[in-house]
Amino acid sequence: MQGNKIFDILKNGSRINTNLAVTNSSTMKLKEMLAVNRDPGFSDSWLTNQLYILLLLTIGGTGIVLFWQLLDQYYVSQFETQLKWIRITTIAVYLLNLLIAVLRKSPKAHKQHLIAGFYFGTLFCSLMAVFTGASESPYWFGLFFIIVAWFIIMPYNFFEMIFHSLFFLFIFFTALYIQPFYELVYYEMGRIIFLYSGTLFVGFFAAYIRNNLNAENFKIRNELNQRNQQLEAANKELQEEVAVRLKKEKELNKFRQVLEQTPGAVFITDKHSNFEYLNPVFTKISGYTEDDLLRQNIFKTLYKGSDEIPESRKQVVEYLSQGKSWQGELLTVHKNGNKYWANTIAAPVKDEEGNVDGYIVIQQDITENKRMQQALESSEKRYRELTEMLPQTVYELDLNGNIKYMNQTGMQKFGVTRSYWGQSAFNLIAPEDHRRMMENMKKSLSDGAQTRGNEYTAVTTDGKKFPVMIFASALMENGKVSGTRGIVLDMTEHRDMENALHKSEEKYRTLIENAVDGIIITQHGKLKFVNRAFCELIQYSEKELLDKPYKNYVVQEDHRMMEEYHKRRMSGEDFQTMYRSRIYKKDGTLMEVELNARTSQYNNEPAAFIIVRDITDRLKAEEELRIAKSKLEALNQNLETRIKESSQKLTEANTQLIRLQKENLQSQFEVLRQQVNPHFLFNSLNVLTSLIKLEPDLAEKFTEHLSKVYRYVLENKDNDLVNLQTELDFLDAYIFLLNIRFMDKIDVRVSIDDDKKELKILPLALQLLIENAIKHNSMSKKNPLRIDIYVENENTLTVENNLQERESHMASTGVGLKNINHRYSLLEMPAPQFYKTDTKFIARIPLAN
Amino acid sequence: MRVVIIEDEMYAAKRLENMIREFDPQIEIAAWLESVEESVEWFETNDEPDLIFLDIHLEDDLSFAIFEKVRVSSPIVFTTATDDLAIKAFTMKGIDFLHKPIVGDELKAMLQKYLKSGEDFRKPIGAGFFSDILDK
Repeated sequence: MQGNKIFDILKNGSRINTNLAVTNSSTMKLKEMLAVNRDPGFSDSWLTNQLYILLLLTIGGTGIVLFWQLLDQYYVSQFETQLKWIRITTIAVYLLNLLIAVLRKSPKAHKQHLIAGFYFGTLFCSLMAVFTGASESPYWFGLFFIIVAWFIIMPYNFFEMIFHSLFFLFIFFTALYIQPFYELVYYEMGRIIFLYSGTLFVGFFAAYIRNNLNAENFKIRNELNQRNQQLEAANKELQEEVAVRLKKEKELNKFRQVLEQTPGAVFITDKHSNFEYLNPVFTKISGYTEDDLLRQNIFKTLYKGSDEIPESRKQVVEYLSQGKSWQGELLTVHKNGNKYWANTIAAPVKDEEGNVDGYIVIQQDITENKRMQQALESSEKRYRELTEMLPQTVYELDLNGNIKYMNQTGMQKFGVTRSYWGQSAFNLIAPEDHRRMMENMKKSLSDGAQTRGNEYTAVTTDGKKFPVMIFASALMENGKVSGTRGIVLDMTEHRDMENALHKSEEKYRTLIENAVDGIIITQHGKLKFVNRAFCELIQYSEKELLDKPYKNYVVQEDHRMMEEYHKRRMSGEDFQTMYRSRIYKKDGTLMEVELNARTSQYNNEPAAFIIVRDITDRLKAEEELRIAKSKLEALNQNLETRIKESSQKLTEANTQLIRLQKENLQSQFEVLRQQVNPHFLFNSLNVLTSLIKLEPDLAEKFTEHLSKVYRYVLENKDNDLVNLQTELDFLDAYIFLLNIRFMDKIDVRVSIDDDKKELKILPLALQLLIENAIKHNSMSKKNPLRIDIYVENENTLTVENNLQERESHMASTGVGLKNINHRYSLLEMPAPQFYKTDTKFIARIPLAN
Repeated sequence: MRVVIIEDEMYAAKRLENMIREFDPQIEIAAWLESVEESVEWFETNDEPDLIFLDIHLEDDLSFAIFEKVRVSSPIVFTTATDDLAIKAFTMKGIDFLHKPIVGDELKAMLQKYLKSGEDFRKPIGAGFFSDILDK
């Protein structure tokens, strides 16, 4: 760890820990190993404990002794008893050896007892071998193994080994010189010496190798030990350092969190102005992420040089390069190009030697702040403008009651100027009101809430007094009361108006009292006000009437209606009513009155305002009028009826006249029409036009006859009657035409005696009848229309035809026949007769002489 | 083109026939009917003509009676000597008429309209069509 690379630390955080952990574990392992190899005396694990070996030896030895007991069955010896005692002693000695070794706790003691154990073992084997006598006695093998084992196990150095071997030899050979022993082994001496030497040799060799190995181990162990101690020392140092570093790291971590979570934007550059770190808030306000800026140069990114570098930025660079910090507002460009004002603190970061190692910058987007500030300023401005505009006085006082602010209206009213601000407001209030004003001010300061308006007498600087009403409340600044603020209303006008109102009220009161009609006010069913006229009318005094229910004075039958009206009035409904009623006067008599009521306000509540008029006289007059009126009506009716009658008659006469005229005209027209007879004419012409091409000769004749017919018509139309002869002549021509037109479909026969031909007949009557017959009857070749004309008697000419009535016929006016009738009646001749039989139609025409 | 003449007076019928032939010899006079009975029978057994010239007074009845018995949709031209009521009725019903004696130009106009113009003037006429003219 070098230097003050905060960034590195922050970035690489806990790398130290991991390293330390590694070191620690190595040290740990080493420690373990050393613990294992604590005693340089032994290299193997379970054999390090000499006591255990002694124990084993004891058990082994005892075991062998007992085991050979068994084997000795095969070896008979005269020394049986001695053998037995040797065995017992050996076992006892072994156990004793072990016991004492256990009691003596030190490893040195254990070593001694182990050596002793081996000696006893060797001794035992030797004695046993000697006393059993056999050359192949297994005791020799036993001896061999013991000695070899002894040399292997016992970690003697070279000199120790020589000593032990010689000592053993000494004991052995000394023993041999004990007489009985010597004899026993004399023969075996060679074998014994060979065996023993060999054993010794093997033993030496094994021990030598073992010792070498041990020595190696020992060296290694020593070295390891040394190393371990070194390592421990180093480790301790490391731990200390790490502890210090950890502490520092924790602190730095705290700072790191602070940076991450601070509401301020923070970024750190190295001394070459390359970005090393930036926190999330910075990303938020600038739009740049870590990836964008990390290791990038600040002047190439965030503050990339535009054409002109603003003063502020130049200043920052200057300050920082001098190792000073700078604070101010920097115009910064967001990643998306928008510019924003950032309240900036830039400071250099120094290492332990005091050299600048990097820079740290903290920024705050104050665009919002600036905006709020502007908003606040404009709102304040608005407030001021408003107060200046008000036609009422607006003021602000400090806690001592001195004027902090007064608007234009106020300054005008009180006759002061701006220079007056700072003086006590009490100067502008009449002295008698000072105490009250002070109390009220205290109240508004402590309550904080707006107090009701208080009335005072104000004094201008000129000494003029005027009534005012002041509404005040506490002025708060930074949560503390800093004064009072209020509005002063000039009550002069108000006073004047009040007086005027009073005066007008007086006027009205007088008016009402002097009115001729009764005027009352009812509210909640009671009389609340009665004027003099009403009292006179009703004959009660005012006192007797006030607060009494009005119903008391009204006839029963009108109660319901009045109640309803009154209820509606009381609910505030505004409407007018005018109606009649009867009220009881004091003497009990009834008085007819007219009540004219409307809703009004009395003592701030809805009330009924009623004008009561005595209409007794009026009623009488009305009654008289009514009578007169009805009389007049009757007269009128009479007159009307008469007029109606006479006019009806007139109309009737008129209608009749018109009708007669119309009839006259009609009949005249009909006559005319008949004479011309367009139907006949056009039909004839129709035939004629055919004939002209088809049968020209006939056409000529036809024309002649046609003209004959019309000549007759023209000549005789004005005649009332004509000779039958003339009529028959005409009839010939007419029939001629008919025949051509209808050919076989018609058959007209005229059979009249000559002597009848002097009689007279209506001209064209026959023609009409024939036409009629044609019109109403079907005519075909199969069933021709047969018309017979003959004179029945002196007075009648008959025209009859066979009845072949057409089924359908057009609505005929029937004027034709009517005309004949009419003309005959005009001539005062009997009417012609027309009637039908089953087969015939008969017309009887009267003839005249 | 087929035309039917319903007229009870021979000369009138003949003249009309000649005038039609003069206008266009191609026009076929499919029938000359003189009575209601004859007409009804004819219409029942023959295809409708392209035009009918109809006189009001037929031998046995007023020609309206034909339509009481048979449904005809050929265009009709009435021929009439003045009969005010009829004229009124015809104009109301939208039926053409010719005054008697038939004037050449007027006939030509009718023939032109109903046979040569190419328009379809068929208008079904059945019972009750003329009932307001008749007494019934």
